[in-house]
Amino acid sequence: MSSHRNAQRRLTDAYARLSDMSDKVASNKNFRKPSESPVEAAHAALLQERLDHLEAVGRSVEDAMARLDVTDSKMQQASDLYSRIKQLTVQAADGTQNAGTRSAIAQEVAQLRDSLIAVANSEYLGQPLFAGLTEGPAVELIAGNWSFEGDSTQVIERRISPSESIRVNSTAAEMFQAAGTDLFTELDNLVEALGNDDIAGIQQANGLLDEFRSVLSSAHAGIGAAANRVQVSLDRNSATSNIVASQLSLVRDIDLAEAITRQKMLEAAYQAALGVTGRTGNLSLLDFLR
Amino acid sequence: MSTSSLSIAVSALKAHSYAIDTTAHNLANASTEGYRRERVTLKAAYPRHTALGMMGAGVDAIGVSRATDRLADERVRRTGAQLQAVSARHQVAALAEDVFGEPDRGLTTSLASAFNAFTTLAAAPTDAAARAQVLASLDDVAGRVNELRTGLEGMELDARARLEAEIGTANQIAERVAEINVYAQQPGGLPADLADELDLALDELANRLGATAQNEPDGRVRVTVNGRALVDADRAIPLAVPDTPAGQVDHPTGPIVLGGTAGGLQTAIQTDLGGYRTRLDDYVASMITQLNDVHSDGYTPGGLAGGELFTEVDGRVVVQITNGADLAASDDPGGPLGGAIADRLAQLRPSVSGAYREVITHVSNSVASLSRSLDTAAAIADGALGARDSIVGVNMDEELTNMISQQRAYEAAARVITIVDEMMQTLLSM
Repeated sequence: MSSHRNAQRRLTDAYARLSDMSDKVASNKNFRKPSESPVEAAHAALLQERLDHLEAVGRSVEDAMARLDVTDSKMQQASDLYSRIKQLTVQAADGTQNAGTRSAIAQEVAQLRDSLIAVANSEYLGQPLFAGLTEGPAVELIAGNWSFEGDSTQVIERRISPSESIRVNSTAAEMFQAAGTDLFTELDNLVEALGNDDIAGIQQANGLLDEFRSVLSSAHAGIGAAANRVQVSLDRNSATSNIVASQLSLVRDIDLAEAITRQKMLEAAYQAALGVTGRTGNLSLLDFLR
Repeated sequence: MSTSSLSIAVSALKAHSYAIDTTAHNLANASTEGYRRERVTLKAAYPRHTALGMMGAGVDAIGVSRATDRLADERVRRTGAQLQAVSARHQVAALAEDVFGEPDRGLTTSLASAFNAFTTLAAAPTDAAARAQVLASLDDVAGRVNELRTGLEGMELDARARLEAEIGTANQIAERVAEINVYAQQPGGLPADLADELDLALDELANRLGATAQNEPDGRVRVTVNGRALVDADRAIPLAVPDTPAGQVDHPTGPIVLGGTAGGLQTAIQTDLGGYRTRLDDYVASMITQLNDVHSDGYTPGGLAGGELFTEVDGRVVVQITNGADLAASDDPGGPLGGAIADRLAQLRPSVSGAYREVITHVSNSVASLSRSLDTAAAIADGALGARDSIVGVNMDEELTNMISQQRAYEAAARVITIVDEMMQTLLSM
């Protein structure tokens, strides 16, 4: 009886190994349960987690990218408007201009001011772009005074890699406030001085405009620098993603060529076991007795 | 010329027909469970006094003996108990691993989507869809945790039911052994069939409880588990399974640690499942604390302080927030566009997922190590069974060979009778 038990055990073992390998080939995975290979399974789970994190951060990076693009173009627009105002102011400050020209310039400056306010209140995905964390509006005339929502502490950050996040906003206050006053109040004063043909007032405004320019430029430069970092991060994330994915594949997925070769070997071993059992199992003294 | 040759031949015919009967009986029982081969013991008959001295008087069949090997029995029982213990533990632990459902259907996947949702929310704090996604994934996490806990609890109940069944059956077998003990004292010992039954019962008790048996001088067996008597003389001592604590088995002298299947179940309930459950509970408590702590630092779009994300009610995890607008994504009460808290929640991913990975690694390592032990124990137990079989079991080839020699001996005896007959005729026809 014990030879039967051995034969049975031999067959069961050979079949178990074969079916295990066939499962691996079919599922293309080195293990289907963590207990089949606890160390590899834990490593694979860690890599999978990194990959998930990178993928999730990808959405955040895209948002940062889009937001910075819009911000940059709005700032460029503000900068262009600003240059035109500066040009007109210099022209008006010239003593040779007459009151009629100045009044015409006053009208244009007023229009340019309104355009700048529109830029300051511009939106991205239905939310104000330059009002910090608040729902805005970023710039508003309240009781004859220009009021700003959001300050430099109201930082909007976006994660650009699992370990790194950067600021992606700039507030209207940072772009248009300087020297204890703000651009819109001074533009109002300028329009008034132009209308009154007040050369001293125009010259004072002209001087202040340079300070506002430098504030706007530095805000713009900050956004540009952020956009560069996001671009660098985007490239690095995708490189990291590829590396982690290939590591994960190494740990988790089978080497198909090797697995199939092994499967064939095990198949042959099983057939051999079947053959041997078929022959020895049939041996009996009864066959040799009369 | 004496007629003693005839009586010698007749004794040989008789003895060998007993031997052939026994061989036939062995062959008939070749596949009977627990059957042990029997042999007829032959002995030269007591010689007669003659003028020449002592003359042989033929052969006597003096008895039928049953093959036994105490050492082989003991080895089979010890290794069998070991195998059953490991096998019961492995079975429970492997099922528990299935309950955890890694790597594809487990909490890991739910956690990953929850953290993905937090990252999305951090990048779009005003998006109602992102908030809804966070809530849905938190519900999924809570549901998964509750499922895991219910699953492990159910497994413990199953294991306890199995333990009770094992103990119940073992008590009955012990009763039977005590009954057989009564017959064992009769002169001549146990009949072969009862002896077979006793050996089977002792195998069973070893497999189920890890019991060991000692033969007493009076022919009875004494069965003990871990040094405490289970069958003492003609009395069986029943074991009982109390309602609490889980996995305990009581002997009249106090709680007892068993071997075999019952012992494996005891360890599975107390150490394996108990350990998994403690680890899971600790993990869940720490996960809830980490997420709640960060979330309660935040503010909702309406400027209210964020409350708890999860609470535990009667061992069930419940998501406290049902409205997306109650999620506190911002760190500024006046900044509804802020996502800093959502980002901090998202950044908990490595620590929260990592801690859960440790739980899974613990479970999978314990299953893997049990699975290796199982392979070893199975090979050892198989070897012991094979060794005992080769000693006490029926080997067809051996029986057939014996049959041939017994048949030849019978033929030879018959031939002696013919020769004596011819000699008589020769004499009579003179």
